[in-house]
Amino acid sequence: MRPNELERLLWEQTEETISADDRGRLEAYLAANPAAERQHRNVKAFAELLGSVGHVEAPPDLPARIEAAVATRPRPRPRFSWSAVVSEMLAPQWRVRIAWAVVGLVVGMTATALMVADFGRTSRDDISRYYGAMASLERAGAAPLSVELPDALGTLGLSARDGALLVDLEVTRPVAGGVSFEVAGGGLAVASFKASASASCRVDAGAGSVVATVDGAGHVTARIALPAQAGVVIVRVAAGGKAIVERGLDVSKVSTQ
Amino acid sequence: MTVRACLDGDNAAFGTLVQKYSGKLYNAAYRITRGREDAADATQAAFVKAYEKLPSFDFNHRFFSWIYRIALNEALDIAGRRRRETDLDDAPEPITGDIEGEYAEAERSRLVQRALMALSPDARALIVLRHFQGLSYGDIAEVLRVPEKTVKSRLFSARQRLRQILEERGWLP
Repeated sequence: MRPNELERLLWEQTEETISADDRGRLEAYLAANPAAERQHRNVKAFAELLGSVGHVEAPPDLPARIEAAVATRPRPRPRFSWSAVVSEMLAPQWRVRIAWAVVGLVVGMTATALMVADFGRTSRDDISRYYGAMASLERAGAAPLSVELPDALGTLGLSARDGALLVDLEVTRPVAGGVSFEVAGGGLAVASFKASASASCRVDAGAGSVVATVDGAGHVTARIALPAQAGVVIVRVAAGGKAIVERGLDVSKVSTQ
Repeated sequence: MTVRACLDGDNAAFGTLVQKYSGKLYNAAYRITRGREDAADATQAAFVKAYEKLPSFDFNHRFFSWIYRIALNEALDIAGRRRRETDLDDAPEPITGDIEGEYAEAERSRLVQRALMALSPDARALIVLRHFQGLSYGDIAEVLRVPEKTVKSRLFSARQRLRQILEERGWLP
């Protein structure tokens, strides 16, 4: 056994940190080497000398002196750190709140995604379902409504005059199946009908609705007499049989003079 | 946790830390600086520094190892300045009770202390932490931020050197 190793083991034995294997090895070595016993005694004496060094009492006023010195310093403020925030958020009292926040976030994002997806689908079909579905004509012959049809298909004009609704449909490009408008209500009657292209006009039984269809590009004007007690009439425009605009008109606001 | 309470503005919490550690730190500082006033200064400076740096305290470590580290550095710094300025104070340690017994103990302490001052500051700090403060190798490794194996190796050398000094001066057979 080398002197350094012997000394290390002697210290470990003195400090009672020696392993069982090393203890056995050391005891066997000391038994077989009486000369090593002197080193053993030296280490013990040295350890005892170090252990005999007394404890020095701190001045009784030291804590008060320290606290007085500390009191003159500005109060420490917690420094912002993301790791501290994350640690805090992972604390048990925050876990339930975080879980609910995550659930809320997922629900909100899902709802938003569904709404956006729905807008994307319907905007191609009928944008007017979401923008200004109900309209009213305040004064007879004034404030005509003009609705641009989707995909630059044309324009729908609505105005009221002398107790009648004037529907003006201009189609700028032909659509397979034609472009039609339908006025749905009760007690409607067609007062006049003009067309600059191939067009037809049909009045449903009981005047539940008036439908006019334009084949190809052209212009159609229909004057529809409104009943005295009319409520809301619906004006729909369809292209190729597919509704693209729908408007509700409060007829009570339309002058019947 | 006391440190968190301090950061939350509880000044009494820091007072608790001062009460708990000031005596131990004073003892360690005394063995390193070998001056009572210097030890008190080092201990006070360590606490003031700890208080100011409290927001940067790493909660992955223990407060005791952090404050010990600061106090050791303060004490070593003061001891280094004193060594350059003048010879060390060789005043005997105070005796308060059994005069004969305490005289012998105080004399032994004085001899060891003088031998200790002949060691390098780092070696002195290791002897102080292990033999006078009774810290485990693991605790010393945490204070000094070195591996435990390094602590054992350095302490082995420090003890050999200290024993050599004591033998040379005839204070150890």
